[in-house]
Amino acid sequence: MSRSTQKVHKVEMKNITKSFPGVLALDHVDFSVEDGEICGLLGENGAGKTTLMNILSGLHRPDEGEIYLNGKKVGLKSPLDAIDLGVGMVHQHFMLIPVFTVAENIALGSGEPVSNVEKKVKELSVKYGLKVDPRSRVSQLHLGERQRVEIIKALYKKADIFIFDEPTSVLIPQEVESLFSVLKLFAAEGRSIVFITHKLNEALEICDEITVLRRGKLVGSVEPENTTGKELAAMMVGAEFATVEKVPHEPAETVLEVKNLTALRDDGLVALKDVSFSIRRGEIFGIAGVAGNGQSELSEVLAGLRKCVKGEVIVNKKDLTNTSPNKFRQNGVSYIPEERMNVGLILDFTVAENCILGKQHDEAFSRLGLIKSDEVNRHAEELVTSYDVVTPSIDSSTKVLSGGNLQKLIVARELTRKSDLLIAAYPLRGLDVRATEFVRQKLLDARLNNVAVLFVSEDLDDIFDLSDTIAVIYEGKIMRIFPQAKANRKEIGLLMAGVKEGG
Amino acid sequence: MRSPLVELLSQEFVLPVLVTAVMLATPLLLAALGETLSEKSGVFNIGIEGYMLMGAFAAYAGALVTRNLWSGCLFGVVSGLALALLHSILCVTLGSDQIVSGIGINVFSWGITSFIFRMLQATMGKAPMGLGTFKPVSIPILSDIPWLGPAFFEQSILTYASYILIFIFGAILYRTQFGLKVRAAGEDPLVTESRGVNPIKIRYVSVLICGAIAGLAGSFYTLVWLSAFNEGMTAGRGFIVLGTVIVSGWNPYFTFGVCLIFAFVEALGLKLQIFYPQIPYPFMLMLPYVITIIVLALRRRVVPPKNLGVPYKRGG
Amino acid sequence: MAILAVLLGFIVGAILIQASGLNALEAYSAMFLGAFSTSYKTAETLIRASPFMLAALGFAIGFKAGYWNIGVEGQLVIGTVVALWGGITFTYLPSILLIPLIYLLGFLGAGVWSLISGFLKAKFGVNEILTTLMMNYVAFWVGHYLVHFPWDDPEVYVPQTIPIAASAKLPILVSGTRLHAGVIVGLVSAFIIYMFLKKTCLGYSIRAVGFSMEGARYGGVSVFKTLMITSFLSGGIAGLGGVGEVLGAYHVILENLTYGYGFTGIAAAMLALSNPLGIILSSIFFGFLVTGSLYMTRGAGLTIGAIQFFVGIMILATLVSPLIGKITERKELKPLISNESR
Repeated sequence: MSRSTQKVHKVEMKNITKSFPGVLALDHVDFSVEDGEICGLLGENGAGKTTLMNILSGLHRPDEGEIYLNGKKVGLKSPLDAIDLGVGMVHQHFMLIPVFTVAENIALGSGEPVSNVEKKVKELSVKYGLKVDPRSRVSQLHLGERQRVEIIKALYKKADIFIFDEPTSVLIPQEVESLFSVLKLFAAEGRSIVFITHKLNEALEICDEITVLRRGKLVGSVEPENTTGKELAAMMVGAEFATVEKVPHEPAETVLEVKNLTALRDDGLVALKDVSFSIRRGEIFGIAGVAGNGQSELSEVLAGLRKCVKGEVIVNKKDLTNTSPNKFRQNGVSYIPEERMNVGLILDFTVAENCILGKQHDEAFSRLGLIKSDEVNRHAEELVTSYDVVTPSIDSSTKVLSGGNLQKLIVARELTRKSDLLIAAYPLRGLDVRATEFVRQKLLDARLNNVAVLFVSEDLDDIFDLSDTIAVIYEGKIMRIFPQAKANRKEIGLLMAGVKEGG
Repeated sequence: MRSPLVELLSQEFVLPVLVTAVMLATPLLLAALGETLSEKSGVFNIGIEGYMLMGAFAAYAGALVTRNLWSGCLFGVVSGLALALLHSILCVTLGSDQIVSGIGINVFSWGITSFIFRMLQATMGKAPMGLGTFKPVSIPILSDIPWLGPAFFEQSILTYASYILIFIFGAILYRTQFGLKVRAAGEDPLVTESRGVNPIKIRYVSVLICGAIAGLAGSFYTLVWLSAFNEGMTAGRGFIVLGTVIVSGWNPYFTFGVCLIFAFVEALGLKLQIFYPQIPYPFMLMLPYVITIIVLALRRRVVPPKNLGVPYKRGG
Repeated sequence: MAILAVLLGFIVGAILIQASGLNALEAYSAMFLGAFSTSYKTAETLIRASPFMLAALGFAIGFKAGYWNIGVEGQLVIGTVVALWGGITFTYLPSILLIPLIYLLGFLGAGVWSLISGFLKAKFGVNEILTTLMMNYVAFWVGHYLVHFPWDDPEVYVPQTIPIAASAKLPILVSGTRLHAGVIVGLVSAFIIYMFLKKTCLGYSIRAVGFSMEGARYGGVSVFKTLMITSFLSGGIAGLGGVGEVLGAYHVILENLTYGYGFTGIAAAMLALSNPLGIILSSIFFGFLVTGSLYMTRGAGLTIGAIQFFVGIMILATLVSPLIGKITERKELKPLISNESR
């Protein structure tokens, strides 16, 4: 690693350690940025990049470690402290009020009249090539423009250190180019920039220095000239192959067919573009990709909770496109949703009541509109025991259950119905080691029971260990589908980052 | 004998209705302006009916005690303010449900005004008459405009105050820093706090202003409309005000028009009672409420402040 | 927690009573005596509690679905109106058919009245708080009209309707009192609703929608249908309270017969946290409050309207006590939440 030996760094973070309940997010990480430098922070989901920068921007406080700005030690107690010290973070989720105009958003809390702000914003916009009309309403701006507003917001507060969290995830290619020109301008002025991303090509293109994190640990820092995409990908995902404990199993006939599926996100942008694939009985079909590339929307469409604008969803030769969640269930589809707490479960219900969520009208559990409590309780006891859900009783409110047990409950419920297709969206997210092992085993068991499984995950290890077939999704499109045996971790890593061939 | 339709459209009929309508619109307008400010900052005041009723009673009692109409007004304002303070403490600071608090305040107000009123009656033998009313003041030149003149410019001072307040509230909401903060607090208190503005403080101020002006609105009933107090005299007009705020899209400028429409319906009902006694009066009196429902059902595509009614805790 | 609220309410009430020049202790003891000292008076307390109970149950069922039915006041009126109509129209039917028929009609009438607001909410998202409030006033004037015009009893000086047929009158349960069978309707309804919410699929759907609309959708519940049914049931149950008043307590409709009963019912529901069984107790409590306070002062002609301020204080007190409760709750939950991330 070659760094210019400057005594005083613009930003120096030493020995940063941070844990959240059950998870060690950052493990003694060092990080520094110089004047006029664009420093890339690269890693997979959960690597700790955002957490590290949240600490720098004052949102979290580290358990251990120190932060020095221009050589002086600082204690950041809140985001406002960081802003005062010149740190400007452009978050992934913008902190803007949609019904306000650009100028009104920036004027809020500044003490200046909106007309003044409009003028200054126009000047800044021209100076840095950040095309924004200060009088336009934020709700009418698309995400790329909103990002420019966030940048100007930080400029307005005289930010000297800019942090960008996955900025290009909301930009089209031309906007990415404009953003890069702006960044180069900032750097030329002596401002420092931290560029968080999972996209290798962009890191290679724009950064002066790239630091890679993996599972909360610092892997290393390289300069773009001295490295390749392949090497970076290896640093990000680790070169070791995990051992697969899967039993070989022959998949049978096709259960799910998805044809030319196109669907929109909640904000109206396209989530899925012309997606087609099929899954067979006894096959685990893994969808690999960084979160936010359309996987959530895909799961919702396949469970009947989101409408698609084009395409077909065919289950067991029946066209279920755009029908209700009930219809999907009746046709043998089980769904472990991404959102545990108020979709997969109703937190205020008891464990027993949650065990029949979605099945309350089944013959087994109700008769003439009355719930058969004995059956329900028996079923609940069964689930809780066989899936080892830790709960004071089946009549306790699920509010007291831990995250792992909530997930086990959902998995228990969805796996013990006779289903042909299981949609599992991020089923292992946030679980501790034991719960993870448990759920992984259950997914493999489902496979042996001839259930077709759609498995969405951000963790490549899990994808490799469990899937028979792997599809990589990027920006709403399926990049490539290959059988697990033919898949190569590095290649998948590249595809996840948007790199097609070579790199 | 002229045909009934011509009769209805004649100046003798319409003009008095218009005058009454503008009169009755005044308390609706005043309360609506206050409620608009409060709701823009994110706080619902179902208790506004209570603020108005308390205001009416306090103004009546206060005027009698101090033998001065103006201080009666002041009593009205203060009583509304006090109730609004209770609401703010419960909801803005303690995060309680705004609807339950409002219902509690209303029920309390209905009860306590009746209670004290009857005790007054008991001690004084009969219901004391109010002190008197603010007489209409004619504005020169403007009041000579045919039709509009007598309707809008021969009103009490309270009405003229409300005209001015429309523009004051509009200016505050859209042209001042404070107004910006109010709107921000109602849309997204988290973002507001991230900009260094305290949404709790902003909400307190808006709710208190709402209470004060609603109390003033209430005093209209005992100091302008009648010179006496009747139990429950606000008769749900506070709730109608909640409807007008929604229908006017939380915009103080439109509010006048909307309130005028509702008041017109009420005034029409009152007048028709006299002209057409064949129709039983309860049907006339229920008109404002029916109209409110119809208007609410029609005006569906309104967008409220995003965080209206949602309690907020500092530190997000 | 409810006890806290009651205590708080009494304390605030005491402060206000002292302020108005009366002795609070004297007043409260007079109240207690007034409500329970003789069997007649106890009966009166229960009679009062009955419409409160039904209004509270109606509100509670709506509340469970996240639907604010503040129109119970009006639905009670519609109940009285339909009851009277039934009582003067179907006079040829024997009691055993007539009474259940009137109860059914009252339920349907009030239910449909409430459904108007429910439909507007389910289909168009119109705020049900405002529409139900407005319907209260419309119902009030409808009732007012009927009492003063077509059904006015010319022989009685006070505005009052003609009485219902004898066959429509509810039997008295305890001789020497006015305790009528309508009180049983209230108690039975409370149990039925309790069972309904806990044990039926519909009850499950209602609670699901109330707790989490997204979770309910995931579970296959039709939010639209649930809201419609809930508003109907909510109104219908409240209407039963009005029916009981006409068939059992008064046999006519007096002006302002049920004034304030709806909101008192809402207060009872809040005090009992919308639990149907708890509502039985809290409505009796309010029955006690009202009956007792009529004996409280030296007969200063206080009406239920005046006692409302107490009810109002109670409602506000129910807001404060959960906050005290939350502090103790958090201490209990800590050991159960392990160190895992969610």
